[in-house]
Amino acid sequence: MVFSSLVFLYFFLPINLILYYVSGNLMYRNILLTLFSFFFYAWGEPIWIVLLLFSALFDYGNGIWIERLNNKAKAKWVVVFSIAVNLGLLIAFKYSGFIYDNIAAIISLPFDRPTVTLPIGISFYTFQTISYTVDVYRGDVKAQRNPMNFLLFVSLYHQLVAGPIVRYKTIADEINGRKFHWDDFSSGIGRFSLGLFKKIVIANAAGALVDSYLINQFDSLTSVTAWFGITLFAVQIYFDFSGYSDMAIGLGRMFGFHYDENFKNPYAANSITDFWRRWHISLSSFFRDYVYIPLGGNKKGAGRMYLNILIVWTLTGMWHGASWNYMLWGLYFALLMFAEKAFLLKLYDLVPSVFRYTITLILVVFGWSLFYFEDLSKFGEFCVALVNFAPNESVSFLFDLKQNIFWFGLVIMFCIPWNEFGFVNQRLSSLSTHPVLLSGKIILHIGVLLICTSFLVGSTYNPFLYFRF
Amino acid sequence: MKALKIIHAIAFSGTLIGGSVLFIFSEKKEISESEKRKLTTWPGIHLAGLLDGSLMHLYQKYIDDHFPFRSSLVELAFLMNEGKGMKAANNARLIVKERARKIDEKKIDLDKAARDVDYLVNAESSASHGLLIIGGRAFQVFGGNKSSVKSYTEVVNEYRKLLPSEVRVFNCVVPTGSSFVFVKEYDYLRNKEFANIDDAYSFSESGVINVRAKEALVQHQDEYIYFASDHHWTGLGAYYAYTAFCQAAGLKPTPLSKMTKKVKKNFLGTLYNLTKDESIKNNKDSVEYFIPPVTTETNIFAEYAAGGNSYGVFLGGDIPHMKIKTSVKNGRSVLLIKNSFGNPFATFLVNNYETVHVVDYRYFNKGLLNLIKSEGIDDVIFFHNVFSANTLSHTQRQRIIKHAITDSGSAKNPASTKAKKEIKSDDTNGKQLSDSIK
Repeated sequence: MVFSSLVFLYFFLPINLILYYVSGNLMYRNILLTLFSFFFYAWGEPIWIVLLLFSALFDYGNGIWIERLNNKAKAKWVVVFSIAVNLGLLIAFKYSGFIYDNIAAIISLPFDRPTVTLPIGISFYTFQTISYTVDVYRGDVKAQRNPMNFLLFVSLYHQLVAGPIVRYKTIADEINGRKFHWDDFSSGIGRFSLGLFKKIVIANAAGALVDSYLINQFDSLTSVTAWFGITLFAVQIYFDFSGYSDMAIGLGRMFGFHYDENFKNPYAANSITDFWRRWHISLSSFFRDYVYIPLGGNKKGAGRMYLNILIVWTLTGMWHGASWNYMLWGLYFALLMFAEKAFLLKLYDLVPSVFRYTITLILVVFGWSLFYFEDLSKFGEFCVALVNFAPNESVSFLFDLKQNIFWFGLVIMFCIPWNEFGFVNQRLSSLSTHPVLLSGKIILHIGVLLICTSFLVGSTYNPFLYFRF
Repeated sequence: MKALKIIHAIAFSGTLIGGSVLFIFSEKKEISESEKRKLTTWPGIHLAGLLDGSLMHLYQKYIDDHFPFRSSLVELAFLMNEGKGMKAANNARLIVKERARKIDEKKIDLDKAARDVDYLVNAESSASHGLLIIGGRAFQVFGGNKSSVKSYTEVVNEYRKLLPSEVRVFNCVVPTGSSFVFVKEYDYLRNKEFANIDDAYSFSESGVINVRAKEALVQHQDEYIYFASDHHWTGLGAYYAYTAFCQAAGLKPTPLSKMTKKVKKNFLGTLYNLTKDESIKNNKDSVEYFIPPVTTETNIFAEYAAGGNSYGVFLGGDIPHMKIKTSVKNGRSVLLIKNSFGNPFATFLVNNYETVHVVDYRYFNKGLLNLIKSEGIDDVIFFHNVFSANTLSHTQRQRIIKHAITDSGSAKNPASTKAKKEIKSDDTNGKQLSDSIK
């Protein structure tokens, strides 16, 4: 199931809320949330429930095992075992086809390409359970003794299928006991509405335009339409992904959980290093804490630091998909970071800061083309189109520009880091307790719900030119 | 403050709960008139469907199709989409929605597509680059090219080679309404269709007779020959194409003055349904049809067609094969191979032939060569609008139905069969037709 669907908004969520809040005690509430999470996960692909269950119980056992051993040296092997099995599953389900293709390109293989479908959310929940065993091993968190509670952590539907990657230690206390505040519920609604709006009104609309340029008009792309298309993709991916994270964080609040932020105005970054502190934070911090720092980070000399950056960003690229282009996308960022560390940041200090914001944004947007085109020869053609400076002949370009002009304005407003401007923040926090503003919010959020519902219903409106029975 | 937060929480959750309660108690329609499709019916509950997940997909569709206030919400969505920006010069708008579901026929298995009737009936928009709305009218923006139309004419040539020389083969490709938009900024939309038709004819081999329909239409371009709200053309437009056909075939066209003109008012067609544009809504069409001075054994007009289905008055919709006997006792017979664009055209052919066969190639699967031979047909007309002539799957379909084939997809077209039945029984109950013909 996805959040941005009528069945989630008008059936799953209200029923979940009602049952959750009529059951008074925490144990019932946790069990109920777990059951709803399984139902959420099973919707459409029931079979992978088995894998989710296995993954959860496996690391539940490992956590207790590590604690019982009470011996760092031995426990280390349990961690290695846990990581090997988790990564093994991830590799088997996500990368086996990719690995096969690459080996088959060199030598002929005696068996057929494995046809595995990717279980939803596997990239997210395997990382969550890995972080759990490592944290238990490090003594950062106590192992969860109640299997039902651990199952809740792994399966919690708010972040199960699209992140953020919530670490156990972030919500351990709230799993074991959380308090209800109207404040939380109210702010959760706001956050959820924001995410819903970003996903449906911005990301979906951007997606339709992206396909129209980067697929339908691919053969006739010119510099203008190529940049237009890839910029729209940058809009689509940010609003889609961060919209989902907003909805997850909002849902969490409505049920008393507090997840960490996953995006912080990424397109307002002033360097690539800064971008990765703002983009998909739960993933970059995962690699920072579980790969980069254990490898020595920047403490073991410049050469080692560059190597560590290379490893982390190759992995980051690979995590996004089983195809070379994602790995190249990761490497692209590693190279940019080398450049920044070596000289670019010093160069930025010499020019007005507007340049570093602009250059960073252009580099990030261009980077998305490596992400978008899985076929590298298409990526090559696209790069040529980006700089061919041919006159624009697209029939639709001027129409699209004009017909979406207010929408573009909205997109820009959403990308501006308002909450990073001190004066705006001060004004907002002094106003946020004002009853008029809060009443306005009630109307706004119901309005957003109505608008999003109309777009969802509108997307199912499917008129045919001819009789279709 | 706290009170307001409680109201916030309750108002929002209440809206969600209200939606599901309304859903449960709202009336569930079977058919969506404006979408021309059946809505999803309740799929029931069965274990197999639950286990493989297919049932959940159907539940989702069921909820989508029957959501309370669906049509109002759809209108709101169209309104919001319009509000995203401004109109272009001359208040024109280009609609993205249609473009988004554009199929690139170069990338699909054409042979399979040509056997899939469900696919075929909606494939024509693959030759479209979107919808242009201007001055209260909507047009499909033509996206065909020389190579796509070449393969079509090649099929006509193939038939020519296989048929005996006494059978005449006509190639008739007509432009659509977008060729007649006279707004300077969008001139480029007009010329391409004409050039494409010239291309189509340039590939005709000797023995294939090209019908100069567009020249006849251009002479009458100020008359009401295309709809504003529908992708089809009017009876009058078809009449001028008919005169061009008569010229090519050496026949004498029956003058309009000898026919009885009838009108169905307040017609809002498919292009309105696709766009829900207010300016089109205020510019309703009327369907004019012309009763010929000859009698036919089969009724060729479905007089009970009404409202959004008024175009169905011509032949009563798309029927796989119609054989129409007329009172013209000249012993000549014609076969019209067409899609829905050909329906009004067919109603004029009865003036000049004793037997008129009308085949909708999308549904007909019994083998054309055999039909031509066994019925002793004299003239064969391949009849297309410029979009269907550039739709590769349609071209492939006409190639493979030389001989009988089996269809995948919903091979039968129940709507047409039902309509046919009703025509035969001369049912005048408009409501029944509107249920069956959408």
